[in-house]
Amino acid sequence: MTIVSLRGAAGLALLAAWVIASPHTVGALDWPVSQPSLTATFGEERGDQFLSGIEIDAADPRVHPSDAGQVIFSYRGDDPRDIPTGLGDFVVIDHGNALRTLYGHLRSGSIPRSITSASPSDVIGRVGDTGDATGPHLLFEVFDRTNHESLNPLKALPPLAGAASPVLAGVFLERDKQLFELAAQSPASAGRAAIVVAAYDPSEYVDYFDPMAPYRIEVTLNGKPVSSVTFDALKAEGGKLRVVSSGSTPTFDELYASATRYRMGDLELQPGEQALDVKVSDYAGNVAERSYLITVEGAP
Amino acid sequence: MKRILGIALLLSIVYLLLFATPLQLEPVLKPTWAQNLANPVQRAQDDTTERVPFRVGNVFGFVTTGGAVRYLNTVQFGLALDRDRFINFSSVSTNLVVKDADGRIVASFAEHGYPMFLSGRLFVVSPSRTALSERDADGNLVWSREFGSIVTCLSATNDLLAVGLLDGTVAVLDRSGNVAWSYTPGGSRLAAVYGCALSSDDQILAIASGLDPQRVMIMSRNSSGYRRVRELALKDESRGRIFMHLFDRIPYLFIERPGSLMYVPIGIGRPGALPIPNGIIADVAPLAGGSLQLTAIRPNEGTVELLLLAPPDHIIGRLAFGGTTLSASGSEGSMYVGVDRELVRIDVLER
Repeated sequence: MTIVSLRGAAGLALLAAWVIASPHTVGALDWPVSQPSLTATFGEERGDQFLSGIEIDAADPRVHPSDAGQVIFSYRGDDPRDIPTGLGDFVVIDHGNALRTLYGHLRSGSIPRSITSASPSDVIGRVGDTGDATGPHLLFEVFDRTNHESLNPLKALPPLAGAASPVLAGVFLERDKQLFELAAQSPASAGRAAIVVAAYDPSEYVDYFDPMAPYRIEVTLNGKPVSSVTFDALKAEGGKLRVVSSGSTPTFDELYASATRYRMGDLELQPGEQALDVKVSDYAGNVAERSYLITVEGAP
Repeated sequence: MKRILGIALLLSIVYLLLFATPLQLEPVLKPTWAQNLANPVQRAQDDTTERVPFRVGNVFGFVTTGGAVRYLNTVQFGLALDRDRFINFSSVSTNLVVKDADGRIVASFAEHGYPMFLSGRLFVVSPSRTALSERDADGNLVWSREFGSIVTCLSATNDLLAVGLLDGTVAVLDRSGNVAWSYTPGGSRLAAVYGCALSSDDQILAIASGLDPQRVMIMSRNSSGYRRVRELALKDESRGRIFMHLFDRIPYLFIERPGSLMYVPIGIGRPGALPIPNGIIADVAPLAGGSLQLTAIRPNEGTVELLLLAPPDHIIGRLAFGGTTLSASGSEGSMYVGVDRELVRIDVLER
């Protein structure tokens, strides 16, 4: 077997493990466009907010419902009194199983006027650039109405094979608002330090640099888990949107230091040799991982 | 004979005392001035200072009551327009600038969202339409809140803000942005909120919700929040925003429906509807004197129409124009009506 095939097999195995561990059923929904190209992932930074869906490019602009259902809401931007939105023209479909899907940035005038129900063969609009889109693409979101959560659509859609690994660009210790980038072996003084991970998942569907958010980031110290964040879902609690995952559940401000830098909690550095491991996974199961040996001196 | 005349006179006097009502004065609509917004005429003699805001299609600004266009500009992506200030914003705004009626900057603040003036208060909606914030007159943040569900409707008074959500919940927020009361109407196969309206005294809350059936609830304030006092089902279910209106001293809830303006008495009484054949309602607003102005567009006919109503459905005045856009704002017995590129002041006189 070639190295590429071995990598592919390993990737598929990881993908299978990810699927099995997923709280939602992969393949429960179909891709809303044919030949989709993923350009933004769930949980990505959007100014001062999470992206609560995914963004998709498509050669064929026809947008279909991911599953059969009833149109529960549509917005065509034709009444200036209505609430302005960056979603552009959009449609929301209720699938009758607590799931609702949203299709945003649709081309102006492309949503059929009298649409009330839709099957996957229907066209509910065309990929456009209405709202705050800077180019034509589809915004696709999935809601769980029972749990009041926005779900990562990639956990319910058929998997997209992706060969490119996520990029672990750097790991930093933050103290007194100053960042110190870790090398493979680094000295550090004892005490508390925040850990910041610079990472992204490059989109392989566009020919420009388009860093997407990874799926999961995990930090361990001396073999013990310190923190992790997994973009499974987002949920509003106490007026703030939080990541819902088996690890930490940060708000946007708690998580994002910048568009590709993630605050992963605090470390208590004790004197001696400390082994720090950081692992970044993407939605296709590809992994980037690095180990750091930190020589800690001084009293905590 | 005398006896018959005497009885007739007596009956006439009794009628006048008990049953006679004054004849209703019909308004006279008197155009006062007109401005072509593509090429407004400067009125150097006009020294009136009161500014009236207007938006006609993609053009907006402020005009004096005397007809001088004091500010004129084109809407970028969206426009928040208040009586004496505005925010003209792009689709990717990260810095919002508040300007007065002369176009001078009065405040600016950094926020990624779209502003709205409601009852004189400034709110900012996130681009995802799932979060709201409020700013004071200086642009300082008062509160912010994320809902996790798309906001479908808003209605604000001086003290409260009703927020309708696509997940089927209505949240009523106080001035600090805290949820003072929340309610999930339920009772429909598909849950969603499509419209909400608060009376200016906060005593009445109207909610349009659900599909199969789609219902309107009128709720009255009590010590713990609001309680349902009236409910009706809507035919021709809407799958978009349902605009509803509660006006001071007019005891009806008005609901914009396809091809009609529906009205529901707040207390007892039967609902009714004013037909607007082939028309799409553009707005309903109160005028001084208790009447209402209703603007409607008939895109298939290329006409627009302005109706004056004595509530709830008695048409006391009507103006029709050829055009595709129509807006009207009222100020002290006058209407400022924009049709495509023309802005006209029409005084409402009682005859």
